[in-house]
Formats: sequence, structure tokens, C-alpha cells
Amino acid sequence: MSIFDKFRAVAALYDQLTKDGVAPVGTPIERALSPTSGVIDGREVILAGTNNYLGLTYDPNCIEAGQKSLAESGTGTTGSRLANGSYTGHGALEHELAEAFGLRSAIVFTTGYQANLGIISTLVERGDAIVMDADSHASIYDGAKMSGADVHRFRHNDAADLAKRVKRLQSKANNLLIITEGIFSMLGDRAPIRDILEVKREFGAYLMIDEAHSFGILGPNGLGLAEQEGCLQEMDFVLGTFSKSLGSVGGYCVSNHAELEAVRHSMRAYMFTASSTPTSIATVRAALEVMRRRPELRERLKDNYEQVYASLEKLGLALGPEPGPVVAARFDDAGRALDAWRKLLSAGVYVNLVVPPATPGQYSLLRCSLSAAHSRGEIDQIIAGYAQII
Amino acid sequence: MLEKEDCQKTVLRLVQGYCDAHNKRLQVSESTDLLDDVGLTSLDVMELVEALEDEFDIALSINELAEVRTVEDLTLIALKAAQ
Repeated sequence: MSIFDKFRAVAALYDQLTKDGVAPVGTPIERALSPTSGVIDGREVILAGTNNYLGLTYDPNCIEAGQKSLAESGTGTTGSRLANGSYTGHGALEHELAEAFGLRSAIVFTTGYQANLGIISTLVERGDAIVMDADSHASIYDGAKMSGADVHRFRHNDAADLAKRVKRLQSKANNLLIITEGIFSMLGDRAPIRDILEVKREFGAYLMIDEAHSFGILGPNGLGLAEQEGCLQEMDFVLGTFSKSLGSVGGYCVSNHAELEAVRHSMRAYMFTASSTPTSIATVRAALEVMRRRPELRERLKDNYEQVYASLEKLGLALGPEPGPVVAARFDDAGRALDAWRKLLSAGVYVNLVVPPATPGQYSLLRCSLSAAHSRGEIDQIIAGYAQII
Repeated sequence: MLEKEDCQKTVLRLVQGYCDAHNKRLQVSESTDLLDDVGLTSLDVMELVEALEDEFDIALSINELAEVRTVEDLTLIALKAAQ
């Protein structure tokens, strides 16, 4: 028996997906031309699968801030935050985030994955219990697994099921941590956060929300679902990423708990990895400022995703339960989904193909993510592309 | 307190029910492998476990379920959670 035997199924699936042309998984974007266009397989296509929700990857302010930082501070920090990797910009960004959220303090991470991994694996331990939405992101599952706590799932977006489970665990666990997301990455639907908050209150649990796909999109200031629902101050921990709406890379955790600083000094996933490059920090800070100054970007994004959702629904595609920046069409058959993905690419539209086990069920998805930067013409072309796959 | 025999019967009934509902011709026993013999997907396991949890008003963690292969394994963790 070889150490590689367990990878045979994955290798076979990858071979099957890639045998007839451009790889739908890890698709090489040969050249990015703008926030919404790039070159794939030698052809210019519309990028509608890049989570570039506010379209800030080519924002002149962000590029200028990044170039200036690169020239002044160099290419990298060459160390972790607790060693030599804390530059003034890291601390300034944490201060700006805490201020924007109106919460006591913030920690900045090198990636969003690392934020979930570090916070969850450190906050709870053996004897505690995590109760998380079944459709949570892999980084949440991985952080939970690393924590040593008992891990339980509740039915996706079902607060009654959550309450039932938390009630059963209440007398057994030392601490209970409930985890959900603002907008879910695969189907683009939103958590019933106020109902979940009721469960937290009733049972004295802690509540964490991952706003990776809702930061920059929901709420009067774009801070996410908790802000939109008026309950930001009642979240124990708000996590998110800079790699979507802000067009850079990194992650964050903001909290009102004074103990967050002690958590910072206990997180192995934070202590033993290099800090964000000064360039990333500079572009994130510039993007935060653009997000604050230009609320119209959220409106434009909303117009775009509502139009695409309504049009795809009319075409008879099986979509997620509500319009959002992610519009996902379900296919029971992975082969059909792959054919549809190739037809869309031929029509000049790049979206994501997602197949089990990366999807919440046994179905495959064509996952389209919209951007405020998509023009009216590009939106029309995306919709026309989908019409060809019916 | 939940007796092993009662727990065993309930788990067998639930897994047999799943097989019948999905037209899987299989006589479920204690040694039946839930993945290889029954062919449960992760979603199926979640539904089966939920039914079991409701039946006994218990909470089974993912950590425990990761070790489960057979009907007997499931019976034992359900029994442990009920105690």
C-alpha cells in the first residue's frame, strides 16, 4: 500500500474533468485585463467567478498605495507578527478596522483561511463544544477540528435545529461556540442571524460570524450581515477576508472582548507564519477607504446580481434560495455541469464549476460571482451565455 | 437509562429504513458497514444521525462520528452519549 493510494479517486476525478480542454478546476487565467475581464485559453473572456465583488483590483488609489508601499517598505516582512513582522501598517489597519466596526479591537491575518483556523482552534478546547452551520467553509471545519472541542453541525440556516442541539449540549459543554456565515459561499444565501442570536442569548453561548462573502456588500457601511441586521454589537467575534470585496489578500477578526489580545498571543496559526506583506496591507487600507467613500458600489453590485438572478431564474435554472453576489445554478449531473461550464466559456463567460464534495449536497454548481465593475453590456453577455446552456 | 439492546434495535431499524427507502436490498446487521455496504453519503449520515439524536435526545459530535464504520460502532457512540 502506497502513501498515495488515497489520492487515486481525486486524481481520477481531476483527469476526467480536464481531459477535454481547459481545466475547470484551477483554470489558468493567462492575463487579467481589468476587474471583470481576462484571457483564458488565448481568448478574452468576462470574469464572473472571481469574488471581486466591488471590483477594486484595479482601483487607482489601491494600486498607487500598493506601489508606494512596495517602493518604501520592500517586498515582504520576512517574519511573523510576534517576531519581526509587525510594521506600522499592520497596527494601523487593525485600528482602522476596529473603528469601522465600532468594536474594541481587531487582529489582522495573512489570509482569511488562517483567520478562521487561528481563532477557532484557539478559542475553544477539549470540554467545549462548537455548533456550526453544516454548510460552513472548510476553514471553519478545519479550525474546529484542530481545537479539540466537540464539533456539532446544525442544519443549514435552521435556527430551530441549532436551538435543539445547543439545548442538548448545554449541560455537557464548558463553553458553547456557535458559528455561522453572513453570506454562504456556494449558494449565496444569508444566515438568519437574528434567530441565531436569540439562541445565543437563550443559552449563553458565544457567537461567531464569518462575513467573508458579505463584507463590503451588506449593511449601511458595507460591514456585513450583522451590520445590516442591526446586531453587530452583539456578535462575539466577526471574521472576514480582504481577498474578495477589498481585492487584496488577508483576513481579520474584530471583537468587543478585551481578551482578544491574549488570544492573539496564543494562536499558533498566527504566531508561526509570516505576516501580510506591506503591499497587501497598503492596498487593503486604501480599499477600505474606497469602500467607505463609495457606497454606490454596493448599489451597483446589487443591481447586477438582482438582474442576473432574475434572468437565470426565468431561464428555468435551479438557483440558490435568494439573490446575492453569488448566483449558483445547480446540476444533478456533474457531466452536464461540466458541459455547461465549457459552453459558457466558449460564449466568453468564465464562472466556477464546483463538484461534490466541495458542494453542500450531492449536486454540482455553476457558481457565478458578480461585481460592481461589471458593465451593463457584460451583464447582458453573462445572461446570454447562460441562455446557451439551457 | 438507555439499554444496549434498545439502542441496538433502534439503530438497526433506522439503517434498515434508510436501505428500504433507497431500494437497497440489504439485510442490516450489527456488522453492516455504513459506507461500504449501505453506501451512505456524508449527507445521508447527517440525516441518519439526526434521526438517532432525536430518538434518544442526545448530541453526537463529528469527532465521534469520524470513527464510525459499522452499525455496531454507531450503537456504541449513541449509548455512550445517552449515559
